[in-house]
Amino acid sequence: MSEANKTPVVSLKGVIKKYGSVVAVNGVDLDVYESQTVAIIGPSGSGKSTVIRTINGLETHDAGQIIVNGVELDGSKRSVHKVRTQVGMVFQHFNLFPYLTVLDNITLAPRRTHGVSKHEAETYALELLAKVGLAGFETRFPSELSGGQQQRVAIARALATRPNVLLFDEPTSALDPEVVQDVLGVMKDLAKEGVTMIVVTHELTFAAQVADNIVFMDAGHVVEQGKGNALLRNPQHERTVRFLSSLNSATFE
Amino acid sequence: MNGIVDFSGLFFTAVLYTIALSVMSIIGGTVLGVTLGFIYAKRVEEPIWFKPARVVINIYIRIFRSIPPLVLMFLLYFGVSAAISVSIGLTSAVVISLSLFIGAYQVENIRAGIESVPRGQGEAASALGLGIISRMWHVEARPTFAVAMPSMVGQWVVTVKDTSLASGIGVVEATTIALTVRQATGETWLVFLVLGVTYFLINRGVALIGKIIEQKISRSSSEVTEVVASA
Repeated sequence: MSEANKTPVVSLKGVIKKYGSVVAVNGVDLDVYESQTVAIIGPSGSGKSTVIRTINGLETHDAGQIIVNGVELDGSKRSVHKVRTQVGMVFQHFNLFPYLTVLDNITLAPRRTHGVSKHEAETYALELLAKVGLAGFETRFPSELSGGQQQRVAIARALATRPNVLLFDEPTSALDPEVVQDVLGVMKDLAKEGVTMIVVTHELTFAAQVADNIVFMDAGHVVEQGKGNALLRNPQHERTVRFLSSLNSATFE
Repeated sequence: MNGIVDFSGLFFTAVLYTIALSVMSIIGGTVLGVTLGFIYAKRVEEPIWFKPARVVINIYIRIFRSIPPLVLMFLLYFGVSAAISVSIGLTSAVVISLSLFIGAYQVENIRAGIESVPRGQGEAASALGLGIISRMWHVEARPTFAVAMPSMVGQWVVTVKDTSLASGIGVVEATTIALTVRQATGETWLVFLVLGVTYFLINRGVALIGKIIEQKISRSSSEVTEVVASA
């Protein structure tokens, strides 16, 4: 969790993304250093999901500069592909491939894109399954799993390609409350191991416990960001205060 | 009645020929339709050449869904040899016409199947760095055929029925023989009844094969019979 390297692993400068006349991301700067966990929080429509999707090219930014692991996303398919082989992503709705077993879901990309042998890919896949607490589930199909289990398989699938950076797009937003902690537990372990993670989330407790930097976005801008707990304990901007208090009033304590 | 039975050997051979024409046309049309269909489907990310290819495929679909298959057979068998010195054989003319005709419909069936795959899976495939071929084979193929098969089998049945049109260009298949037998024996009702039953049986066979294929495709995705209640 240290900022050991001067060069950020992921760097966004002045990134803009428009959909027609709607500006979803309006000049965002963000630096993520190795082994950091960065949480991006904010209301719906703030552009936080769009931002994270520009990092692996699922959205093409209209202006600004995005550099991942030294590769600049310059609009070429080659740069996008290079980044995708080094960046993993976990989606809100899991997006597992329903016609493949859990094992095949995890080994598909390593074997097809990274040239890993079947045996090697399956060995590592079983290791990852054990790591996310799903040992023995390799022959199951996604439809047989609960949401929390599917998401953990999705995390294993993202890890299987041995990425430098993991992107999480609201990983627990579609889960029943009782299984949210299972998934967050896996994510906390990854953070402890020093995996570089960027997490778009509504889970403030998780962000407070795990994030090295919390970034608050609203209406396409980064309103403020703070190291660790600072932003949550001591928000500087009025919009941040409003957002945090609206969440507090919605807690179920 | 005896007269009719004399023709049974001839009829049987003709039925075999009908089946042969049907099988060749079904294979031709389905291979064509599936290949083009996988290119024709719209995806968020695709190779650059897909876009112009889609324009060409669209033209193909529009033309071949608008011309009656019999007219296509006329064009290929009579028209081509009248226009240029190359002549196309009877069987080829029928099979090519029907393949092009059915292919145009199969493209749409496949396209609908692919576009029914949830967008999120395509995004996951992209995020994992999977190329278009891997994506088509591992992510899209099974759900596509699970959705498209009923319509595809419907097209196969149409193909079998349309082979009867070949009688219009002089091909000796089941319908042609039936007409001949009717001419020779005067037994109108019985002859056409037998012909109808013949096509019915062939198409039942086609439908059965289709069902078996459908079952094989969906086999591994829905082995759950109970809902998993908790993590």
